[in-house]
This record gives sequence, C-alpha cells and structure tokens, in this order.
Amino acid sequence: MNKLTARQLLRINQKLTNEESDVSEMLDQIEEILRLPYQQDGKFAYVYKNAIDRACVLGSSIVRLRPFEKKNSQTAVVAVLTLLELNDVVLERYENNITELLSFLEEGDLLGSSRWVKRYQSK
Amino acid sequence: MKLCEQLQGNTQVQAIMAKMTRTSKKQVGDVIWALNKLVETSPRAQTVEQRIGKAYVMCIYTDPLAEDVIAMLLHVAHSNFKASLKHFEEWFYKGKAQKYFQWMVDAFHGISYDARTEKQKEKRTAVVDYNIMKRVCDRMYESLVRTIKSKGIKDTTYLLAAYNLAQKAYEGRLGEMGEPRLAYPISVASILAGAEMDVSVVAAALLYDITNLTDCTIADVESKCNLHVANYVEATVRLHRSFEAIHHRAEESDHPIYPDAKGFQDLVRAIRGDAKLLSALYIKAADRIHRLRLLCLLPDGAPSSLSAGPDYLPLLKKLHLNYFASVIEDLEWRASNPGYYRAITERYEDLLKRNAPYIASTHEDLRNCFVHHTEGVGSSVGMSVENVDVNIFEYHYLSLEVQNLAKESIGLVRPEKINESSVPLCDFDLVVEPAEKVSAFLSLFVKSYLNRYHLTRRTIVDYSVDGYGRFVFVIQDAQGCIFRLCISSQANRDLCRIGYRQHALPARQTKEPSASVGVTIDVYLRNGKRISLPKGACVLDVAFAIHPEVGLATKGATVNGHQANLYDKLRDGDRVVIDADTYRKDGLTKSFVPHVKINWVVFVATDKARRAIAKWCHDNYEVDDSAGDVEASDAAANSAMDSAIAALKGVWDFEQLE
Repeated sequence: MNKLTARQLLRINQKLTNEESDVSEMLDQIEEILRLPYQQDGKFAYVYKNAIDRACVLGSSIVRLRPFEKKNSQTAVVAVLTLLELNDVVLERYENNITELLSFLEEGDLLGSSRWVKRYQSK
Repeated sequence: MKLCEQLQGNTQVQAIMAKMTRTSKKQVGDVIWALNKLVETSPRAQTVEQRIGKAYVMCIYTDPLAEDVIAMLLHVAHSNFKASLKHFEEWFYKGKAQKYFQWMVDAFHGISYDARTEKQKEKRTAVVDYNIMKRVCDRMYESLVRTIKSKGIKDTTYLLAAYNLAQKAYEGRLGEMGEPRLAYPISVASILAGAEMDVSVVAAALLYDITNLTDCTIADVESKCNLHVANYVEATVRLHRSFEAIHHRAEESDHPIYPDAKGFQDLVRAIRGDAKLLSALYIKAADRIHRLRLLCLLPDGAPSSLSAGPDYLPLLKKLHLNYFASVIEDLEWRASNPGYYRAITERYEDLLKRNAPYIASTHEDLRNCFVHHTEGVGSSVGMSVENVDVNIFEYHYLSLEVQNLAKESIGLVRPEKINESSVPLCDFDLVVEPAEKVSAFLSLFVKSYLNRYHLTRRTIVDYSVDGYGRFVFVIQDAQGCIFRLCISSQANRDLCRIGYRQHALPARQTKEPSASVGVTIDVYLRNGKRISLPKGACVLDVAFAIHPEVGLATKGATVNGHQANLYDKLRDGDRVVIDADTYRKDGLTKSFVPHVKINWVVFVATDKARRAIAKWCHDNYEVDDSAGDVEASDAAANSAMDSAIAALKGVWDFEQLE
C-alpha cells in the first residue's frame, strides 16, 4: 500500500498556497501526522487496516492539528484524495459535497468520513 | 519396438516396463525384445509366466539393470535350447549382445549344463535364478554403503562384516516371493540408512532375524561384528518376543486392540528406558514398512504369499515416533485402498502440473528475498541478518501428507474435493544456519511480510509451531493456492524427518524414572516452591510453568539475586524470581500485560511454554494485505495531487476553505 511522504504533503500545501516557505521546522510535525494512520496495536496488527480509513485519519489529523500556516483544510481534502488515488480508490462526482467531508474530518468522525468516501467511490 | 500380442495386458510385464523406463530408458527396447524372444523360444506358457514372475520380483525389490532382467528372462533358453552368442547377436546390437550374453553366462559359473530329467533342469534353473538375484543383492548393498557414506560416515567395517555374515547365513535361502532371503534385510537396512540411523543399527538390521531363521547365535554376531551390533540384534529378538506375547494374549481374549494394557505399558516403559530396545523398534518398524511397500507394489489381484507382519503402529504412536508411524499408516491405507490411492495420486499430480507456475514463482520470490545476497540474508527487503545461510527445500509430499490431509479433511476420500485451496501443494523448508540465528531470521521474515508488497500478496492464513520446534506458516497466494513454509534449523528439520533421534528423548519422556536421571533440573521460586524442568530450560520456562499468563507477561527476572536475561539457561538449584507486568484494572482484579515475542518459541524448552506462545501468536498475529506499506514515488504523488486539485478548482465550496 502506498503512503505519502512529508515532502509530498508539503508540496500539496505549497501548490494550494502558491508559496514556497521555509519548511524545516514543520517537517517533524508533519511526519508525526503522517505516522498516525499507520499506528499499530500491539506488535503486529494495524489499527486502521484499509486505505480509506487511513486517508480519513490523515485528513482529520491535518484539519485538527493544523500544521501549516495557511490552507490547512484545503490541504487535508487534497491529501485525502491524493492518498486514495495512490491506492487505487477512485471517486467520482464528489466535488459539490466536499464540505460534507470536511465537516466529518473536523469532527474526527472516521465512520462518517469513510462512508462519505464509499458513497462516491466509482464502482 | 512393440510387445508381442501375447504379453500385452499382462500386469507384471507392464510393471517391469514401467520400472525399466524409470531406471534405464535407453535399454527398454532390449528388454521388450528379450520378452518377445522368450515367448518365441519357450514351448510352454508356464515357463514364460515363471520367467516373467521372477523378473517382476526382481523389479519390485530394487532397480535392476537391463542386463539382469534380460539374463533372468533368457537364461532358460540358453541352457535348454542352446541360445548362443550368435543368437544374441541376431537379437540385439552387436556391442550390447556380447555384454548381455557374458552377463548371462556368468550366472552359470560352476554349474553343469548337463541336465537330463525335468527335476534336474528345474534345480539348475533355480540355482541360476539365485545367482542372478545375488548379484542384484550385491548392488543393493553397494547402494546402501553409498547412502551411508553420503551422510558423512566413513567407517563401514562393521557393516561389511555384518553383510558377509548375513550372506553366509542366508546362503541358498529364499524369501516369501522367491527372492534370495538376503534381499529382505538389505532393503530394511536401506530404509534405516535413509532415515539417518546409526551405522551399528543399520548393520544390526542386516542380521536382525538371523537367530530366528538360521543356526547363527548372538555370540557369532558379536565375534564377527562387534558388541553394539550384537546388542541391537539381541534387543530386536527380545522386542519381538515381548510383542508377540502381548499380541498372542490380545488374540486369545478376542479384543482388537491391546486389552493387556499393563503388558503394553510395561513394554513402552522398557523401550523408553533402554536405547537398545528403541533402536530395535526402529528396525521392526523398517521391517513393517518394507513389507507394506512390497504389498503396495503388487498389482491388484496378483497372487502373493506375503503377509503384512505384526502391527507395531500402536507402539510407535505411543512413543511418538512420528516419521515411521506416519509412513506405516500411509502404506497401510495405500495397501487397503489401492483404487482410492491411485485416484488421489492422479488428482494431486494434476494439481501440481496445473499450479506449477505459481509454485515456481513462490519459490523464486523466497529465493530472491532470503538467499544469495552478499550484504546479508534479507537485504533485498530492506533489512538483513548477517552471517546466516538460508537454504530452501521444496517438497511435493504426494505420498504422505496429501493423503493424510485428504483423509482428515474430507473424511471419505473424494478426489474431486482435493483442490489448491484445501490441501497444501507443497512445503518450502527454510533451513537457517547457524541455529542461533533462527529467531533473528524469523523476526526478519515477519517484518518483511509487513513491509513488502510482493510477499504480502501471499497471505498468512495460519501460523503454528509444530512439535519439533519448527515455525510453520500456511500461506495462500493470490490464486488461492495453499503452501506451507517451515522455518527451522537443520537439527529441527532432521528431528522432524526421523521422529526423534536415538538417545535424545524429548522432554515429555523425562517423567520415566530411568530416563530422568540427569535430564531434569530443579529450580526454586521466591516462595520456596520447587519446579522441575527439562535440562536446557530458560527463565521463560519457569514463568510459563507458574502460569501461561505470567509467562506471556514476563518482562524481566532475577536468578540467584542477579538480573538475568529471559533467555538465560538455568542450572539445577537456581532461585528464580519472575517479574511479570501486571496492573489492577478496577482496583481488585489483577491483569497481565503481554510482553511476548514471536521468537520466544526458539528459546523455551517445554511444551507448555511453546503451546502458550503459539496460541497467543495465533490469536493476536494479524497480517492483511494492507500491512506492507511503501512510500509513493514523487511522480505518482504529483500526478495524483494535480488531478485532485484540478478536479476541485473552481468549486466554490472548496475555494472558500482555509
């Protein structure tokens, strides 16, 4: 399964803000956020087992921890979509309901956000 | 070349041809030619039948040369009808004719060609048959010696002495199928040599029924060979007598299975306490295997005076001699259900053929991951263990496991129900050298499963530790084929193949007073309680002996007041204090926090500990396809984020977000 790196996540934010700021201070916090979807329970089992859950956890973490200076919500949404696409989860006709996803991410509602993704997942 | 019509459909001829095709394919044509000439030159059908029967016995006993088979078929034509070299040159190619003829004439060495009456002719034929078979026996012995030498044993003096004695004692004696009696013990000895038994035991197998059948005594064996061999022969005789007595009593009381439980238990106890009797049991088991193999090789409906012999299976099972027990069980089933066996065999071969690419790709992936890397084993998966050799062996265990699994899982055998996902197609044995590195390799293997996609496409569906300390992973690939992957040291692999070695009784045997001297140690707990453990037990064994939950939660220990490693071996009289990780959830109930690791199984010496660790791993060990994560390439990530941004560009809701 593919995962995003800190630099890739940073590039998403840079593309959305059209700014290239100094990032060395941010990197640690971003890396910590990127580790959250891959938490392990005990020695072997992963807490979040599929790509949708992991993408939603990542998005929720970005929205709530706000590691960037600007456009954290936009970055979170794009990061979710990017991670889903990297893992072959393709969405369609979701654009007009993006605020719904964001509200789930803000509330930290993993179940709601994964349901939202599954609703728009192409069959 | 074609067989004459008269012989087509003859099961014995078919068996001979099958054997010759396997052993010397180039000379199959010559054997067919010899069979045709036999029919042409023999006026009586009975003679043809008899010759074919003799050649057939030779073929089921061993892998004969074409020369032997031809000599066996045509020597009567030579002696009765004066088939000369000239005839042979007409029948075979010139170079080969000379060889075949000479080979046949050699069997007549010292025998008069003059035979007037039928009785004399029969006697001469029997002697020549015997001479030919004796030559075959000599080659069987040579192959036995080769097997033993291939295991690294150089000194075979006693074996030669035993063979010479057996040759002398069995001179002129015939077995139940008309073969020289000598062939029988050589076959038994070969089975034992294949199971890597001690050379003295193999030598004893050449002589084990010599005292029953001939005038030889144990003293003769001792004088010609050595005391060890004589002891083993004597033990075999003793075991045979005891077993016969139990068997006899069982038959008298009309009970099918050992009603004389006490006698049986006594015998089991005696075997556990006496290594000689244990070796004798190995010999008897090999004898039984050989008999059953012969019975299985006989075609359906073929007349035979061969009996299956005494049944040592309950004794073998009781003593956990698993290798021999499973082989015997399999052969018994095969002998009683030849039709089913054939159907299953064909089905399994078909499965193997159909899934050959998947088996090959699994083997290739394992090889790429764990073998042939200069930086250390496993470097291709991003981690490595230095100074380790890993060898991969692939087994297609058609004869044993598939049937047993089929029998177990299906109940009544229905070949069509055997498929890729119901029985393991093959075993991959990953043998790790040196043995101390097994646990390191195991960690590497598990981590690589979690990290690498190409391995995780094959899912671990089951995990266990078998009775020999091997880690067995049942793996299912993307096509649904099941394989088994056994990770072990060379010693554990050998142990698995043989059952258990002589003189190395496993821990569960140590309860017997005779065997326990020097094999167990006593350690003491904080409260003074004494715990007996097998020699070689470590700190973890003590923790698991207290309670499995304590074992799983152990995080440290002190031995004799000093901090100790969990894997430290204990000595007799040690005082051990276990530090288990506990907390009180609601202020009352004590709960344990597991600290167990998968590699603990390598260090513990007791079954109780192994079982508890295996159970915990089985319950908690979870691997799925999502487990192997890799960082996405920049190119892929860029294209994915660009497409996401492009899709959302111009969407008012999105543009408003901060």
